[in-house]
Amino acid sequence: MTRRTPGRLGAPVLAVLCLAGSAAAAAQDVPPAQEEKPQAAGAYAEAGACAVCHEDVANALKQTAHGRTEVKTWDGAAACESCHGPGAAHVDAGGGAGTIRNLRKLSATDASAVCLTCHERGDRSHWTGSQHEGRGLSCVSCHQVHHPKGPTAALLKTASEFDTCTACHLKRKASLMRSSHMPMREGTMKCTSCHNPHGSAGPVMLKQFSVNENCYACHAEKRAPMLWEHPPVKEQCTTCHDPHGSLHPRLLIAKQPRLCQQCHDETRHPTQPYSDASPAAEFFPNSRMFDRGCMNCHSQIHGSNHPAGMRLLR
Amino acid sequence: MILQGGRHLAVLVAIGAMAAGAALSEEVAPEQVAPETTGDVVVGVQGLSEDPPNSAKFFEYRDVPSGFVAERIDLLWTPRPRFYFDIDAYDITQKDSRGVVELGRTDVWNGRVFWRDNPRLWGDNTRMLYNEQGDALFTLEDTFQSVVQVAPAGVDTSPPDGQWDAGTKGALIKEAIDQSAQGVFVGYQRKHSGVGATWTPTRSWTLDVDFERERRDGTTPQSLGNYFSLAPSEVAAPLDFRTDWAGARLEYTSRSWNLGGSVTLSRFETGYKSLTWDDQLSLVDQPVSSTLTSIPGRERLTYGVDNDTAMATLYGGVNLPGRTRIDVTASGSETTQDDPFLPMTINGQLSPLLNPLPAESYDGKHRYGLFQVRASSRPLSWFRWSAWGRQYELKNESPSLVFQEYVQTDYAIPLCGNANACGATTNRIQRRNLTYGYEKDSYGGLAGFKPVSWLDLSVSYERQDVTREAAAVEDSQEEVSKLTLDFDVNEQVTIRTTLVRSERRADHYDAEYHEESFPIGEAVIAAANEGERRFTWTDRDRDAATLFVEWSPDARWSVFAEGTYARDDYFDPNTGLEIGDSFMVQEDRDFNTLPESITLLLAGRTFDENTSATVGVTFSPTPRFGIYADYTWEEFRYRLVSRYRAPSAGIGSDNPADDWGSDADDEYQTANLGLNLDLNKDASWRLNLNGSWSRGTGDLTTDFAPGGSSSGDTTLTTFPQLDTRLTVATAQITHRIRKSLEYSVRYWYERWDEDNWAADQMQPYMGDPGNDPGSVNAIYLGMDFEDYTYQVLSLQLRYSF
Repeated sequence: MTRRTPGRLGAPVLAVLCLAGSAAAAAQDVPPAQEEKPQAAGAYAEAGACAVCHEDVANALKQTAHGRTEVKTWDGAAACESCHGPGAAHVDAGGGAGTIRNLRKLSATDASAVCLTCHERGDRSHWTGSQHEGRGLSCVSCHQVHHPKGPTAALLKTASEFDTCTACHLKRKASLMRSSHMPMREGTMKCTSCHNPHGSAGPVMLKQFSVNENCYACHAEKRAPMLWEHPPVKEQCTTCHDPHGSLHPRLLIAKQPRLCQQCHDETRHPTQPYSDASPAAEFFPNSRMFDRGCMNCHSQIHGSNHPAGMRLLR
Repeated sequence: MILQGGRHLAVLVAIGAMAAGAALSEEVAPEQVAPETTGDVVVGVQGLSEDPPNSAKFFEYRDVPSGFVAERIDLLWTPRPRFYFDIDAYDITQKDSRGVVELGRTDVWNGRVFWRDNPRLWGDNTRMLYNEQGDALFTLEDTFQSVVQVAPAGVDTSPPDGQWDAGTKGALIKEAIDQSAQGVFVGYQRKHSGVGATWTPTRSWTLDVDFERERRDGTTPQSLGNYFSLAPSEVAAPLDFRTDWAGARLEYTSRSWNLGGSVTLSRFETGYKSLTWDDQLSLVDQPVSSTLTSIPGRERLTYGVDNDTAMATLYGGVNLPGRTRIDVTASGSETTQDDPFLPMTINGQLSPLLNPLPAESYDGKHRYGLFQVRASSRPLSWFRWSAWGRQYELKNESPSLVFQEYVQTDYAIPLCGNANACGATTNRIQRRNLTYGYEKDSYGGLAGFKPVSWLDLSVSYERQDVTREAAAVEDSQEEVSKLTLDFDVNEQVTIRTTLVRSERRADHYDAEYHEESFPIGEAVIAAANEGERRFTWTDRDRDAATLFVEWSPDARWSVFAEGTYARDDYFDPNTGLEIGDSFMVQEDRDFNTLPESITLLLAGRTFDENTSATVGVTFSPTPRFGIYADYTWEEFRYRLVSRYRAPSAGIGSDNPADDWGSDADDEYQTANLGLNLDLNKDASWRLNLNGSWSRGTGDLTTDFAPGGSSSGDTTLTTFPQLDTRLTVATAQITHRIRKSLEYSVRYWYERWDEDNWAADQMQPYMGDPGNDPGSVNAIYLGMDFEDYTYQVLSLQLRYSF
């Protein structure tokens, strides 16, 4: 069987598509779909006017950072009007959904744009173009500004961050229950311990720039340059570990020694199948199969700094 | 535990005093507004039914005490307008306490302290024959070692009853363990805490400074690299890790752009650099033969390396017309270590060696670099695009040192086994460490369309070029094509689909790249299988698909389902054949000038596959009643093929009759069910029921070449199933006495069972006369997680203020 060389057409085709779209937009001579940051026109209401009718919302908001801030938007709007736009018309009309900006009624892009007016910085600098943004999510998909249910300052719509994430990432909810797991069920870790749901410069929205750098954030003992290194360890921890859970100890993706034998095919014992055991009640597998398998001897699997450690035994 | 809680309470009190002082010292005109304090306090008592007591698996990462518990303190104190003091703490008096305390002046500055502790337990029933003498030195009784040293090798002949014959090494070690091994705790406490401050003098400027420290203190199971399989050992090794981080970030934000920079410094230190242990087979170093082989009385391994990391990052973004944003991130970091080398061996019979070590220490340095640019745009309501480029590298600037002789696990100095491979057979094998590094350059683009309100589709393409050093593949390319189709059919139905196809191709695969690690050659000719193809580097085709559907016929119902599928197939870059296939080469391995025909097996992982399916429903007919249920099934499959290769006359064998393969199949099932019910109209009585059940099974099957005999290991093709099951159920009834006060009674049931053939029968002595002569002298910890059934009944009082 002959393997074909991968095509080189993807990038040009995509570039043509993008150019075509931009050209189409120009040809139609239409303004962009929305303003840069959606703004509602009109005059601002008197301070405190909103609380006259929306007392419960105003009181709830006081408990949050949004209720305490006095920072104004770049356009000078403050308090409720920072997000809902100028409210004089709404007040003059005695209310009415058509006279005030409601983020729930906006498109995902427009709703997020309102929030990004102030929040497009720091950890949220990479929202635009992120995986979540691309799949049509907006800030209000996860956050509830007025009546957050979560106990933290994150203003989440659900009682916990885990509930928010697993509303869409269904199989991650299940993986939490696996025998070998990160201490998420116990509350020490959460999804944002590793991921930045607002987008990042790392892969799969990791907070760091690579899988390994993410792991080193807690496992700094693994990051040292070692005399004898194990290449997959330095390239990607997930070659052997599944951080979301496993039934094998230490989050390993497969049982040792089979995990190791997927790569090691040298002479002697790496290539023995180690199946010479009785499945009877007094089952005693080979010492390469029970307990830590290959690591019963190759204990320095993440690298060794011993002059005699080339086989990761020292 | 009291001390633990006391530490946190002291921190809270200290911070409270600081907050008050900070608030009062600010030069702000006093305002006639009374201080406000809001929050919740949840305290209670609980009792446990423990079966077995102190289960290591139940308490693996947490502390669930009997008696008083302070489950939560949430307090927001506003001493004057715009000043705040906020505590959000959980399990304050416990080993798994966590929380954050913040204080500050809104919009101007913020100070914070956090802590996050948890235990880590490794197993039950741990017994250790070794005595720890401090400083990571593990000893055995001298008399025991002397007796074992002179005893005959373990045999099971008179009678052949599955027990080592009395007086042999195996029998003596087993007897010593039975009589003298002591119970030992294997676990540590992780403590992670930090302080930080943010200053925002204007809305445009943000300055953050943070300092964090993480400690791990206790013991961890440590298997000991032995001289081959003659004396496997395991001890509860001391652990003393400390990692510090200090960082600062400065960012400027304007209406249309932001620019930030950060610097982070980190240091990792371990309290134990090496671990030393007595060899059960020898009281003192002793020669075994006239060659360089000898039995060490003690052995030693490296046990952690101090290291430092420094990172600097610049990032920023600019918003352009047409809803376009360009992000740029550039980062560089350096991780270094310079720990002194241990001597090549602790075995006096082998040292001093003929050749000194090439350096006093290892001056290791990894440099990481990232440069990423991304442009994203939504010029039209129905069209969006983005394009990106990314360069990430691990540049390994560590030295490649040549060790002119090395010692094999304190036991022997390996010599050349074949004069055609490495010169005279008296030559000592040399080794050179290879410095692995890589660079990954990727670029791609995405075009998204929303031709109608109910459809969003996108296509994307990414190409990644990877170059590696000291690897079997030095250059490879991967192309990833992706299609997404999202349907918002109406307000009731949402569908999300993703299709991914990727192809990774290597320019060439050199399975013997590691020969650079042997300056004079390997001890054995064809020691490596030339057909070995590691799945991390070789050619790969990947297909993946996901489907998510949610149907909400009305506000009461939501029915959802998700299916995912991903499969990787692996190929040989040199021949185009699938891994698992064979091909023939002509090689003169015996150096008689006549090439032999050798059939090489393309060995390694042939494919992997991950499939999952989830279905679920939520039903909430009234605000007072809600129920949910979901079920997830997930499977991982891997297949490998291999060939048993035993050297013969100093030449590695390649016999197709020694081929074998193995399938690993891990399957998970998880179900959740819950109910929330307000028992009366004003919700003063509430009922919450939650249950979850999860099962994971792992199967290993092995197959052999028909008629073959891979090292004689053809007796068993299927291992017993690995089976883990977890059941958790909670029932809680809550009564609100008045607006600020309520109490709850909670019952929590949790059961965990495991059938694990690799661990269930773990004993400190695992020597198996019938099946594994290599384990005759074993001294293990015998550690395993016991099955458990726990019940917790608690009464909690919540006071809101």
